[in-house]
Amino acid sequence: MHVPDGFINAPVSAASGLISLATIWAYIRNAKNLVADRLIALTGMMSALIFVLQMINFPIAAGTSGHLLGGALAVVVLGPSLGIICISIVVVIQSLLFADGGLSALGVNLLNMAVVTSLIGWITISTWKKLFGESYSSTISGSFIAGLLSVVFSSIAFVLEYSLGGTVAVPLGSVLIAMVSSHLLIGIGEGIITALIVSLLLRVRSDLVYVNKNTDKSNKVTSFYGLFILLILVLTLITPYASSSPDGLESVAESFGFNEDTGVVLFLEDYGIENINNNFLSTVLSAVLGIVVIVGLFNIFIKVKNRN
Amino acid sequence: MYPTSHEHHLSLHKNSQLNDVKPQHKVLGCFLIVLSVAFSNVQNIFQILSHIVIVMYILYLSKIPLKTYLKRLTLDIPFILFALFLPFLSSENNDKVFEIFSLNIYQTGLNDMLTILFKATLGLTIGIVLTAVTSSMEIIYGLQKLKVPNILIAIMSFTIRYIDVFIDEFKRVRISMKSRGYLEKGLKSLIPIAFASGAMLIRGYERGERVYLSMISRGFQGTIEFKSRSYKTSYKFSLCVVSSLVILGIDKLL
Repeated sequence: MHVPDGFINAPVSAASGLISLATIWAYIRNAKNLVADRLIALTGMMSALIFVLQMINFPIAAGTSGHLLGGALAVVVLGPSLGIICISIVVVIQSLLFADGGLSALGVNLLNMAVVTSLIGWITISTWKKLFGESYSSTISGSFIAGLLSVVFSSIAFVLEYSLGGTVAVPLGSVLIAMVSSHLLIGIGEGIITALIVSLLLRVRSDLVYVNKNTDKSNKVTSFYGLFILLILVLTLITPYASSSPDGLESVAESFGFNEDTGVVLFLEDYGIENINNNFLSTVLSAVLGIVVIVGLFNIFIKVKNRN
Repeated sequence: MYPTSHEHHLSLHKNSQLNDVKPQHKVLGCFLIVLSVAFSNVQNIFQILSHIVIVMYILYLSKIPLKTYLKRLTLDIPFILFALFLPFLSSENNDKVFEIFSLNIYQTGLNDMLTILFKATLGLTIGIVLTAVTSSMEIIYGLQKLKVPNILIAIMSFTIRYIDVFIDEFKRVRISMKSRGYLEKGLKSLIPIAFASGAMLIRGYERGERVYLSMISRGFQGTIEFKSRSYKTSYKFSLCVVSSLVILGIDKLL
């Protein structure tokens, strides 16, 4: 998973670097408020353990092997803010001290392996616990699902970066299929390891597991941010299949001879924002914009209804 | 299925010029060189050659033995393999160059292959040089001088200290697992690995807690002060950094 130098072009590397730096900076500021002394020691331990676990390649199917990413594990044990810090330290150490993953691709690696894995892991485990209650078994099954989903979405994040700024011209569809299918298998391994470690911790030292304890207020922001990233990644998965051929109504309208030109010119013409040459990017952007507008309208509707 | 891929003590104790450069300058300089390599234009032959010359000169300055360098370069192998497949895969407008046994080789693919080979290898070379001439504690010292937040520095130094401990412990755990008849096959083998690492985490945490408490009782206040030794400036290294930036700048501006 460690992206080397020169795989992703300059603007996308810089943009993902900025995103991950801003995220990590925000969480460091947040963590300063809530760090009890001993949590520093636990975070250091956790980083070291994840580093060692990432070295172990476990065989998955014939010929392929994968290694742990550890984002979900860190988030389940340490909570979102320290979890993100913990896993980004692992990535930084690998890049600076072990020359694993390119220096110019550090931002991309941080985004894929630290920010996306831990945010998706946190969203999954917190929603799972809300759905199925605070029991022992729900925590363990939730951490399995969190491990699985975090790896899969991390691979989707790579596909998104590749589609925006890949320097090689391998077709996007085959990259998507290869990455997601192999990472589904790796994710199952990751989920099993995460769930087993969490179950052991719950049995022996349940005070160390963060999700077992109460939650902070600031986690709502994390959940919201994670949901936003989740949305973008899900759209990445869907948009290649969004067809730009006219749908039923449009084709009927065209065959009857009235064009769209006569009506109001929509901003989101054919689900793509003009002036952006990259077809894929514009589709994703317009989909995000569309969803934001819908959610906003829905909120306004609810507010008006409550007032009445 | 055991930790071998990283050698932990990567820094070599050679008396090269680069060993004596201030660590913050080394980290920053290496970053700048790698950025200018990664963002350079591959179509420009002059630029490629001058970057190769600069990186090789730095490699020469660092006095890394060739054998060690080649051994550490093996991290690159998966990407080289991937790059060798590219001429058959990636194409734009079906620009075939020639055909072997009904396999098409495309021009775009060849360019892509060269790009990846050039950028990934040079980037990795700089990384190898940085890790060879700087000890891990010095890199953290450099990061502290570069104004990385204190909490990160504290956690990082903990992490680096305990990676060694965990690797040693994992080796011992593995030997005892093997002597009790543990087989590494399939998904089932994940269960013992997971329980072993969970147990290691708990043991490590309890040990780290004790160490931390004793650090506090000896006056630790959240910032780690490193012993600084005497450093020299290396004009050759600075010249390399500046010239690689200039080469990138010439290409972008003209």
